[in-house]
Amino acid sequence: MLKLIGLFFVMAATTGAGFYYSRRFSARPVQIRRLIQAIQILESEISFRATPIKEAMHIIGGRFNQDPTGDIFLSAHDLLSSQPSRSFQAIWREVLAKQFSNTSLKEQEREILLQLGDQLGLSNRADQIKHLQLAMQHLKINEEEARWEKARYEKMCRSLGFLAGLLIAILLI
Amino acid sequence: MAYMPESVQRILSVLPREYIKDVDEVRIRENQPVEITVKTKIYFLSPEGHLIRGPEGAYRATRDDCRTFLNIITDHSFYTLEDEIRSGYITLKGGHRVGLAGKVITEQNRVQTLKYISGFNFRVAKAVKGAADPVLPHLYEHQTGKFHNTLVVSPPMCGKTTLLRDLARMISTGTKDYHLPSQKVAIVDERSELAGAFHGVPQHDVGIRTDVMDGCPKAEGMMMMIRSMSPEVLVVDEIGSMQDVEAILEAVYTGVTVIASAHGRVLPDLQKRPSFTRLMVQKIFTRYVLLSKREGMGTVETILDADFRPVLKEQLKCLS
Repeated sequence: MLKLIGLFFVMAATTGAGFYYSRRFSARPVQIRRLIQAIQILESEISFRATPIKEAMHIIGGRFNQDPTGDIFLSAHDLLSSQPSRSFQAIWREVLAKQFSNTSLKEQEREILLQLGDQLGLSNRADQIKHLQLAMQHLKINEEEARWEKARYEKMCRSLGFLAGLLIAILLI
Repeated sequence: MAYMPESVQRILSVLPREYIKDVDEVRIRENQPVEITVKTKIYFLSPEGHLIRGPEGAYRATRDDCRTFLNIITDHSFYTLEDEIRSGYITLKGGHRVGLAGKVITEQNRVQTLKYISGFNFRVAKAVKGAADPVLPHLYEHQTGKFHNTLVVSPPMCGKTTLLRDLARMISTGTKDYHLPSQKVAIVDERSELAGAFHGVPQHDVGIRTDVMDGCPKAEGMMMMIRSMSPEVLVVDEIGSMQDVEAILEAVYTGVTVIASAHGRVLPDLQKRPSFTRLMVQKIFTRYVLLSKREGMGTVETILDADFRPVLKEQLKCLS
């Protein structure tokens, strides 16, 4: 009886791990899409309304507030308000260091966001739009890759988790 | 001082309060010592936060300081200030101004924007209330109940703008001491210096009945104001071009009093400039106020009438 309970826990744990990884695969393209949308909003705010960065961060954060990507923009807005004598670049770095691990995004996306942050707010409109479009294009490539990975690994992770549990169970019996 | 980058702010925070209060200018240049002007004296900033006379051992602004400073003064959003940057300076909340120098990007011979901005001149805005106090009674004509058309002549940094600003404030609010009535004042503030407007709202006290046209070319702005706001007194800073003179003539003919200022050390300086000769020959200005900093900023050297005869017997002193 005790053995059965133990085996059940092992199975549950590995299946859970499988689901966790598969969720990361399925969430990544969704979150990349959100980033692309966020940059689109930023682009229109900058080009049509010349909204200051701080306010734009608030607008984007409010739009995606149910999502870890939204938290990046919201906490950037909070830091910009509370510490106005720091550069946006320093704040953006700090925000990414804190908030990025909560997302399912990968290192490549972090690189893109860091590079974009290094330029945000530092040049005139035409220049800013170029940087935003570049970031958007990079993200679109990553999105495709993420979709492909999702199709390939999402189910595999789930079944792999279950099967690994099964294997361990059989070995243990 | 909240506008300084963290590294400079840390140094400034140790400075005694009385210095902070009297700071006129802070100059930040990439790789050069940070320069501070306190009461027209020039100092450099040591890394420990002392004011030192020589540049040796002074704190040098890093590239990062400059970038951060630009970032802060533009509210992290350079692109919102394209027009200001094109004109070479930014007006901050509180009326402070930051002059910029760097690499200019041109397109078809017109300044497009500034890049690699490496020199900053942070001018602390100081409205000196009462600066115009000793001058004002001499500019009022009791018979007509109007103010004289006045030209303030002074070299740079002698309190020309400060005097104009206070004149605007006192005329628009009215003064009980001299029994002067309040009049409608219009300020055309091409360089956002007189009123220090931030988002269109004057940051300096320029009086209760004052309208400000901010960032507007002077000649056009004067005509706009006359047409739309029916001012009794028009205040404009640093006139010089032919168009300015045309607009002033137009204003005077419509019965508006003009109070203006111009760069120049002594009157003959101005008489040499063709645009001013016309004004002087036609006796448009009936009062000339000459400033210097002989006895501190804003020393009134003399006040002359249309024929350049002194109005004052004794010498006046104002501002400091």
